[in-house]
Amino acid sequence: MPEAALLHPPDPARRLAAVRAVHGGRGDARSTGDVAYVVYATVLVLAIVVAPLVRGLVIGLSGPEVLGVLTAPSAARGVGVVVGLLLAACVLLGQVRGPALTSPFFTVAVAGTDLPRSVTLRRPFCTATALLVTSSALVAAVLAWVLHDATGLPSSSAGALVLGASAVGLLAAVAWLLGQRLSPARASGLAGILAVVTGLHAVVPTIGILVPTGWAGALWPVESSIPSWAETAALPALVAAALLAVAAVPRLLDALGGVELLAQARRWETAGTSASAGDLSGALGQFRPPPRTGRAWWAVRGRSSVGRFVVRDLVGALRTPARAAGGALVLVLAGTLLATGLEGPELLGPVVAAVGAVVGYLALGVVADGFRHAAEAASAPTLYRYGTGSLFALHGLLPTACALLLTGAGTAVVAGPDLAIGSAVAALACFLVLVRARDSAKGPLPPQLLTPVSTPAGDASGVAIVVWQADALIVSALVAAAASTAPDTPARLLVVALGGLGAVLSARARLRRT
Amino acid sequence: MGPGRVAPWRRNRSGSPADDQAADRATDAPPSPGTGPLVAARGVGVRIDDADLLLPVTFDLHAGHALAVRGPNGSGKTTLLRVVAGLAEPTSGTVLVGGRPPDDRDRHFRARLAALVGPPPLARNLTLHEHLALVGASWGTTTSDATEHGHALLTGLGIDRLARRFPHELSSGQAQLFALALTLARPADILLLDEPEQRLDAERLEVVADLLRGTVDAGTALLVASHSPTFVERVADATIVLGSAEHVHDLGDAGDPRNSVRA
Repeated sequence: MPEAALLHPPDPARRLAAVRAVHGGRGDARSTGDVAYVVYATVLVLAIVVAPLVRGLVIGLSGPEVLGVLTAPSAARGVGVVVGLLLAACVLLGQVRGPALTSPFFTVAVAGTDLPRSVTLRRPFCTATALLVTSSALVAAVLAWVLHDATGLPSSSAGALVLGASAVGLLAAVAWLLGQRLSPARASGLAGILAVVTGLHAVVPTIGILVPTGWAGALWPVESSIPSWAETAALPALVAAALLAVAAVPRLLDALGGVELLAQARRWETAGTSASAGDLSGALGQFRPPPRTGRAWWAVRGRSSVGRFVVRDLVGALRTPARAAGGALVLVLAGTLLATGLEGPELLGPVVAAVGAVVGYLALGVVADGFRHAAEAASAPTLYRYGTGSLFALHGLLPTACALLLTGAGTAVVAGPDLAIGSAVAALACFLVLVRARDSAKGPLPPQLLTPVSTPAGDASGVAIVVWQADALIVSALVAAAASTAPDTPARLLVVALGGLGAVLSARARLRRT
Repeated sequence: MGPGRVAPWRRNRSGSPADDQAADRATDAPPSPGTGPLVAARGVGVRIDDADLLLPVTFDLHAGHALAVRGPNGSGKTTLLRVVAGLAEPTSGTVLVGGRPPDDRDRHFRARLAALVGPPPLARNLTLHEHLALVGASWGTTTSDATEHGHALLTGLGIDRLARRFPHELSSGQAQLFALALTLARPADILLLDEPEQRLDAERLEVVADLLRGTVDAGTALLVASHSPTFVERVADATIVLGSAEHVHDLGDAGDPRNSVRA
């Protein structure tokens, strides 16, 4: 390379353009035909799936039950709480997958050069931000549509709602980037502060005047306790906050560490490879934090196998304390959702119960590491004295206890000492533990699912693969929804018991094949 | 007790852990090992479609003896171990372990045979020492004895300073040593090991070899696949060479002439 080129390198934009041109000219780059197919598939999905889905959503949300919730005086506060939790979640998400992320190769070859990262990582950040802002605006537009049809919401208010949602999307994108930039401890601290502020806002609504979550709530076009001047100032304040936050983006991008960027990029590439091969548990395993604390705690105690395995699984779970605490809180939330769903009205109840089951299933993963170990042990030469069934049963003790205790606490919040609801939630909690055990014994993706299925919209084999991968979530949601529609408690318990029996039989069959 | 001299933890015939004694007293107890071979293979082979994964092989393995399995890559060493461990079905011949066909569903078979064939199952949230204590305790001994034996194993393999590490914090060589420790943490009459010398330096190789020889001398039967002449020299009483026509011993009708046994 000539010396002059080193002393006066071309400007960053030209250098990046040159790299992208080389990358674009590679052998497996998308051809014009590939791009045309992507456009064709996107248009088809929008026309066949998204448009009817949005229309159906609007009709569903226009029902009297949902409309009652949307137009309640407390709805504005609820919007503030949702926005606050969204921002906190974005900060935490940044630790797992930041918005400024590219492939491992580009992380080294481009973000690893002397070019400022505010330049090299601008494109992935802008793409992620665009997705977030569009999604946020789309949700607001659907809700504005519902309110317009049902309550004659003026276009100006609808526009303000959508504009405010876009500003929230921008704020969320910056919170996401901030989460990527901060150390794990600081990111957790910031998320905690946001959650506390959100909680205070929920309890003392007047605090909302001072924080963006309150401004977002003030834009909700229903009668509320928020002063009219605050409503008027909310949109400009929200937009100004978003613009100020965006102004900090270049500095945040420049401050991103190369080691963390590469680690995230590699983790996602590995997870993507596992997921595309049908190994969803392997993909999810990439994001399970390895234990680093509590190595001095002795996990093997007690004379009986039962006590020993409960202590062993409990100590094991506590060695990732943040994960354990998060899982416990989410299990309480799942209990609340399940109880709410079981008590809820005809349309909304099953949906809330299904969401509660999915949330509970995911949270149980925190205490269900033992199932994964039992499944591994089942396919290896004998290590423990116990047979596979006994090992699963012993590792099921802690998840069952946690599920019963924590979902029970969540149920008590909304249902009090209602035995009927309590027993149904307890049965669902046990069912979710069984589904967890079954999912651990799942094994690799059956190769026959990879057989192409031709349809006018392209190869539909992906649908079967997604259903196979998400079957635990689907089964959990369906059984919870079915239980919520059952006429009485015995019928609910019967539905859940049948679901549990199915999970046990399926797990046994799968383990026999290993 | 110095490195390489860990008291082997066998499922001994007179003093097995309490629960195992109870199991042995059960009506479906297996035949007593007595003086017969612990592993008896007669023309055992594995053939899938038209490919030979293991040419028919015949051998006996008695208590207190070590049989090394050697041969080039692809000759069927691991397949043979998998068959004896009950992880693969033979397509020809028979194999008996303690007088019974290998079957993982048979708890007596599980109690009798320990194997390291492929990576062992590890719990990501347990320390190395806890792994060993939990495995030992699961076989009916007291937690304190299992903990002590686990510590002795770690010391014997020279990795006691890693006792409080989690599995993901090990190098490949350390992981190999720990896998061996985990396999030895449970009592067994028969030990199957697939290339235990992998990723070990010369010094560690000798430590492992001495430890295994001590286990064999105490009465355990060892079937080990290995590529290391040094390791085989230090551990094995006899060698079976798979996929080779040289030095063929009289194997009767069942053995394939391309396999051989060296005493």
